[in-house]
Amino acid sequence: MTECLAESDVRELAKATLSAFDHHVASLSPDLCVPFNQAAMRLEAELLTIYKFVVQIVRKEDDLERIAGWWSTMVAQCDQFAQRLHDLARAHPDCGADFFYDRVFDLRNKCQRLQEMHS
Amino acid sequence: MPAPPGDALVATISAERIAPLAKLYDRFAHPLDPCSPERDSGIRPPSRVKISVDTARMRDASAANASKSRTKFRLPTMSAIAIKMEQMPTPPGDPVVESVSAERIALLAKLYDRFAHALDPYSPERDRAEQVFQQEIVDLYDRLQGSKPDLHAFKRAVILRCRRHLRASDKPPSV
Repeated sequence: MTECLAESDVRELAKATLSAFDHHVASLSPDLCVPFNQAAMRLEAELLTIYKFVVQIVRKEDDLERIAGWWSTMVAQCDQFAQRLHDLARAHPDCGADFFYDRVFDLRNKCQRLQEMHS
Repeated sequence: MPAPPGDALVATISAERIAPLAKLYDRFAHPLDPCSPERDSGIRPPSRVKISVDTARMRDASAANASKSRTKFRLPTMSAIAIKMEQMPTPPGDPVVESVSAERIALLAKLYDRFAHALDPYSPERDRAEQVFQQEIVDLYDRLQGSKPDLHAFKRAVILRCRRHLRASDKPPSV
């Protein structure tokens, strides 16, 4: 039995989150604004939860290369989440998704610095 | 691994019976969407599972478990692990870092922990800690005498020492 999540588990969680987001956004009325903002906010919050899991995992990890690997996975996930928010902001410019896009992009850059620092 | 209590009884259930139970269990215990109707429908099994008890087999299994549980394992304590980690030889490439004092490492470790393990990645404290850590590394690097490794290798070696320090002091996340 393994104690920690594997990188593939994190990728799967992120994939499921993105899939649920796509499904939810597709069901929203395009005339509304607030639901899109809420969807963007929820997506960023879910990415933050994944980030917190990764932090807990890397705290216990001894191998710097593996730590770099975890941050690399996190960068890739941030890219995917940011792409969704970017698309949402373009499709609904007034819904405020660009605010969450900027935060995700900021998180991505921090994760990338952590990856480079440990590799 | 010692079998949990009741395992002998469960061992009498056929693999064919376990397979549909496992499917149901997986559906409600590991759903990625906890609100899905499929997940909730997994809680109610479609039919009752009849368990027949083989008492002779149960007795044998209990005896085997009892003998297994008598075997004692002596696990190292966390403090022993921490001491061992502190005593571990430094990896090649970081003898220069040995010149950095323990007090300086303790300070750097605190900064490192604050930004590398920040649970709030957007907090100003996290960003400030990263900035000061980077400045401290560059400052230390500039003060090195003689032949130097490249800055990246030096930074990595400092991080390794910081992580060892944190592990030895087993510090919970600060931000």
